[in-house]
Amino acid sequence: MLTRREMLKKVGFGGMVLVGGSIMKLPLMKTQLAHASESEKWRQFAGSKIVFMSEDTPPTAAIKSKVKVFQDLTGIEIEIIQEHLDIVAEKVGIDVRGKKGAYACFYSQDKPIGAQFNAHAIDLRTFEKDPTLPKVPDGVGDDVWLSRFLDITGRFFGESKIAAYPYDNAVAVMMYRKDLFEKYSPQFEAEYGKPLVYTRDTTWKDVLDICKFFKKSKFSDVKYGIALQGREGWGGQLDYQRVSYANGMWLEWDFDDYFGSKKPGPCNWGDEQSIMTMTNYKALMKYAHPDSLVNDWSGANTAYITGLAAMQPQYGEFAAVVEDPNQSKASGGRTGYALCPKGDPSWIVGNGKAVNGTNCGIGGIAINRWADKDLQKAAYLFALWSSSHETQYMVMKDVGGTPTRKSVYELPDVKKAFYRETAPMKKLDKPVEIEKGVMVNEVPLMPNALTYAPILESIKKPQFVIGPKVIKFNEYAQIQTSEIHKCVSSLKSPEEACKAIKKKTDRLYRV
Amino acid sequence: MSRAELVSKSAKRERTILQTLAYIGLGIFFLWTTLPLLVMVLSSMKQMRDAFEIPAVGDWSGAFMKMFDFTPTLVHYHDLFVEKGFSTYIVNSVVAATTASVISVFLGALAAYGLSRGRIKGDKHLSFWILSSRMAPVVAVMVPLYAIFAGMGLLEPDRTRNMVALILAYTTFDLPFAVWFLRTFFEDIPLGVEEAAKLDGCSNLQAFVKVVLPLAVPGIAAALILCLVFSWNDYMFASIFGQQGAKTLPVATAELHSTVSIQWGRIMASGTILITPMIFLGVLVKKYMVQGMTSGAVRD
Amino acid sequence: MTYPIDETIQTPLPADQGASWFKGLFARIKGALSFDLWLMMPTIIVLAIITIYPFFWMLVMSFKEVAMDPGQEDIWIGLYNYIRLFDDESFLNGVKLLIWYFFLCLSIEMFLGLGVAILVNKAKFENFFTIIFIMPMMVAPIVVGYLFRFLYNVSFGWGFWFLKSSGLIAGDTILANAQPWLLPFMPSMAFMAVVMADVWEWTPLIMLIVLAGLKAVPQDQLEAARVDGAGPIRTFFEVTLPNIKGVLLIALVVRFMDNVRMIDLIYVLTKGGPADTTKILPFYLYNVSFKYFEFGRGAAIGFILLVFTIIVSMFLVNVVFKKKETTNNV
Repeated sequence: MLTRREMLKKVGFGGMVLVGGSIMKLPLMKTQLAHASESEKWRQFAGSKIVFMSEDTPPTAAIKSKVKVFQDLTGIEIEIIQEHLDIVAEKVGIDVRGKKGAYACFYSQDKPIGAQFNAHAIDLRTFEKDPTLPKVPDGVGDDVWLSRFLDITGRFFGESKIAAYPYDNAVAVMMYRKDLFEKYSPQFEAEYGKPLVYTRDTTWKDVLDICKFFKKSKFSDVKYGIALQGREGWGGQLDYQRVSYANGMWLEWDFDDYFGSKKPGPCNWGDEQSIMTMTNYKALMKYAHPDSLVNDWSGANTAYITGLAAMQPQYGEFAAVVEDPNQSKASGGRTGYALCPKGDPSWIVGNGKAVNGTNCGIGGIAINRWADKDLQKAAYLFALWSSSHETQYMVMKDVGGTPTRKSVYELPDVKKAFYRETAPMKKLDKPVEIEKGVMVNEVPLMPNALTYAPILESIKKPQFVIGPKVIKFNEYAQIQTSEIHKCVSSLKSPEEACKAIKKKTDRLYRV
Repeated sequence: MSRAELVSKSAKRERTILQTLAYIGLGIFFLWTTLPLLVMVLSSMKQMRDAFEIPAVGDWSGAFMKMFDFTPTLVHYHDLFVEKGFSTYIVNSVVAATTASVISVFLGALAAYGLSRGRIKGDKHLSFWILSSRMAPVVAVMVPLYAIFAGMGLLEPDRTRNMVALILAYTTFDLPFAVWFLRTFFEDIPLGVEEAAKLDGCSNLQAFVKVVLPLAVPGIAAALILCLVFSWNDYMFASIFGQQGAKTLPVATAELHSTVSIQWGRIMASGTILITPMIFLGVLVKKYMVQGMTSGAVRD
Repeated sequence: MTYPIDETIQTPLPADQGASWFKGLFARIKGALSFDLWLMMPTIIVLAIITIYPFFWMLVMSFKEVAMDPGQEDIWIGLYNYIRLFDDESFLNGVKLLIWYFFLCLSIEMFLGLGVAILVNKAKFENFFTIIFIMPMMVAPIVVGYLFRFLYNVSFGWGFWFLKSSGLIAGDTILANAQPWLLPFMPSMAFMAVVMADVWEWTPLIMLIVLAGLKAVPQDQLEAARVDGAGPIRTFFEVTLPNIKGVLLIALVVRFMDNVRMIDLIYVLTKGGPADTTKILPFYLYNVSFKYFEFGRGAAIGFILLVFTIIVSMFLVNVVFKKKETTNNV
């Protein structure tokens, strides 16, 4: 295939335009820069223009609203494009595969983008070692980030290169309607012999019982026990993984979770545990909100906030929407946040351990290898700034944040915001009626912080599952969820589905 | 009564029955078309929570209340125009669609004329190749087109360049269509017409412009309308080639589906904006389509 | 400046010389290419760039395994991309669903479009009805997708409510329903939902084109039929239908070409799910190209899809609507 340069020469189009923006530099020599003050180092690319392609989520929206701070600091004009994650993957993919480098930096979600385009991200250590570039006070070493997050977003396949800094974190927690649980506990207890509560020891089987209860009871204020996110692709892969990992710590492959592999080898699909989990997942889907099979995180969230589902395993950043009385019936203190459910002994084959299976999508910010060299450095400045302590703290207060630095979580006012009782609240101008006769007149200042307590606990082994970080991740996720759908819709038996996944996956990876 | 009268009486009865059925059919189709539009327009004026209210299954009487009992709000429209800058996107859509359609129909008319005269060797193959280029699946052509446009520097973050890229992209499917569509019209204009003009002393070009073209105007208008519709509606090309500089309405609307939530109210408002011009253009569209088709092109 | 005229040699004056040189050149070019080809030039050039290059790119790509990472080389694998498609469940499923899709969409749209056009033609308030009826096609398919996603939603969808309340559907969900609709070999409920959205949006296009064609039916033929004592039904089949054959063909081909290309509706409504039951071939192609970034495989699928479209179009034009050979048609 002709590279574009060759093609241009052949067709005779003139003028290669500067790619990815424009760059201007202070007329300082490299040696001068190395000894310049920090602020001068920050300003060395003043007047340049770069583009950041990112996900359309609150963390980025929050950064975007504060982007003037960055511009004042560095003089760099940055355009932040926000798209749905699928589209980010698509556009980044087209850009890097086309070797264009239009996005000097891009959002690198660990599996769908990071693993797929790892080779197109520059090793950030080259910038770290460069004396002409500034540093942030705490640095960017492994221990300033939450538990091994730098491994998750930055290190792939056993290479020592660091591909991206952790930029936002979406970790799954369980959100549930405390008020509904309290209300219907007596009835539930009468039927199932245990109270209707959600604790760290609640298992997926308990969840199934709760779902059966709600679906059968046909209450007027809630219809289903849980809203799941089975949509084809990454959403469904994560949804299923929470159940499969909780029950026996079952993994799709046996390589290191944190680093992944380019040649994963034969997968574990088709073994006894996988078939048992598939059967149980099908049962869960049967009693879950009926659109669970096509819902992704936003669809599930809508089902939860419109009061149709009593629980949802959801990513922490959605707490902001859940706590907004203008949109959500689950606001005003009605929602509790806890760890994801535990595995159930009766759902585990052999000696597997039961854990509160938690997974994630840790987003990193990566620099595009195809962008102009100087633009890369300018983008690096942005990566440093947006993942620094000050910025993450500033952004967190704005409804958006999901910080990745430990230091932010250790601040006293953040710690207070972990629990509703101590969290600083903001009074609304006018009380909002979320349901007939139920008024809400204050909202938490940092709603996402309500999820931090369970998140901080769940991002450690053994609960945490990071993988599978593999090349061709998107196709694998599609294969997996496709077969799960067929099983859930009774078009294939659990055993057939698992075996089909094994066959297709092994063929995908040339086993 | 004579046999003729009997026959025509039964014909008349047939006609009345059919007429009643016709109006019933029309009514059903009317409801089918308008009810979704009604939901869209009304939802665009409701607060999200009101928009989500539907009656219980089977509760037909409650339906009216739930549908119409709400406090209307224009907040979604406000957000679209103020926060999201939708007026720019509307302009982008209009400019790109119109320019591409005009270019396509212009070039297409020329080409269609050339093909219709039967004077070019292999014109059948040529016109077939032209039409088949429209059949290429969008996705298949996107990557090479991306490379071409990137090479031409059209994908830089600059509004004019992105607009050019967009217009070119639209032309890839408008032009073949225009050629194919207009060819049948030109074919129906008899060769004798230009011959007569040339005898009168016109050059080839003058014969084409002064005599043939005016006869084809209705067909050209019809082609223009269809090209406009296709370009206006496009999403795939616009999302990749329009980049950020030339965002069109469909792309902007799709962006309202953020990762965290689907902003239904704003999406409905956007849809309502899309159909509003139709109320004004509707009559024009019909008139030109009718004229276009009527101009003899489709008689057997 | 004039030169003395030498009677013996006929030399054209310089002023004329320049002009006639140009005229000569121009005439020579004009002669080489006929006027018609001249007119076609711009179109041919534009199309050549934007269709020939992509076409050959696609063809060449389809014979390679395109390298994922920079620095790797593309590997030439001949027909392997095509051969492996026969074992690819998703591909075969995609083809089957695509055939169902265009068969259902087109037949319903043509039938309805024709019917409504007849009803609207010469009805009272014809203009009013026309304006209302063509509104759906002015709404971009993406927006129609969202509208119907809203309508089909289990929690707050009026469409879902209506279908459940009138007993037309029994299940709990529409878009997540992978069960075959009505008969076991038919596609799923979700698929039918997508078809319904497509029909809602595009029937107006057929209606518009056919309506225009109806206006072209010669009045004298209609008069003759009426005098003959023919009822509306007989008139339709003997007079109207033959006259609008051409229009119907245009409508059919136009709609067919877009129906098998556009995936906007599926992209918004179901993304190919549930359980692959709405993953028509163009959508699978989209996944392979823009999700998995397997350009080689995508090119092979794209090529097959293109060939498929061309063959069916030719079939439609040549077999279904036999046109007289005297008119040079596609």
